Amino acid sequence: MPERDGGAVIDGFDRLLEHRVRLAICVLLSRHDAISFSRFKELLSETDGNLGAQLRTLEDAGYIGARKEFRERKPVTWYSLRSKGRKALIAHAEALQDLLDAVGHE
Amino acid sequence: MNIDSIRDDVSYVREITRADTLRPPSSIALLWAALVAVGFPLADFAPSRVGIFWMIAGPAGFLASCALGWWDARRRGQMSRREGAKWTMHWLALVVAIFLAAPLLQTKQVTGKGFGALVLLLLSLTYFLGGVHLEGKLRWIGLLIAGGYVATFFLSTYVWTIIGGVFALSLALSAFVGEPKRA
Repeated sequence: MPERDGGAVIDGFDRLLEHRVRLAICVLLSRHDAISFSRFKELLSETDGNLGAQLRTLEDAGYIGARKEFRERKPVTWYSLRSKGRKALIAHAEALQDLLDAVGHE
Repeated sequence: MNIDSIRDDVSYVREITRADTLRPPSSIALLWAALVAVGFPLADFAPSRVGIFWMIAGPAGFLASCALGWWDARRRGQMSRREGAKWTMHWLALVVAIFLAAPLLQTKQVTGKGFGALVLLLLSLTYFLGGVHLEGKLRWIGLLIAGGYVATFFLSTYVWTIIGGVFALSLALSAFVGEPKRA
């Protein structure tokens, strides 16, 4: 396996989803139609800055979409998984499963 | 990236998905506690009005519950059609079963008391299965209603008032057990 950032790049792994927070965001969005920023914050216990950065990375890659609305005059940002993100998540999960199966059978 | 860090990441995601289920808002349980507190005693004090009360209150309560669930999911920042459909189908099955059973009463194949007992049995089963598949605390309400069903064979006076009172109280108490925090 080729090395990257002190670790190995594994076949089939999605580079963006190797980050656990980004992976969790996509998994959560695959289970629900839309999740707000504040709900992500509650579920993931991340700081506003870090969570915002991870969401923006996924948004820039076209994995997730964001929609703003106002509730009681306060802005609420809703996120949802796009088909590109869903495909990437499925491929990443399959690669993860293959790897863990292979290790389990060693 | 090594296998231990991958395992840690998978565990982390698994823990988060375990916590992502939203409980229904307490307002739904309180709504039904109020409807039951009014609707059940009618069978003892104004039996002729029981049918019309539940014909209106049953479907209206169901629709109001759907609306309360939807509004609460929005407020808490997590919308899930799949989750909503699961809960809706569960309770819709009860509403449909009661409506399908209604001709038994109209064609006098069962008495008013017998029909009431049948509805209690359906309620008990629906709550119990809801406890098994949706939210654990519903199981205890199901068992309590089953107790109410058995009581219909032994109590002769104010039977529906007593059962309704206990049922309404259990619903009201369930509203405050494991109440979700506002996000």
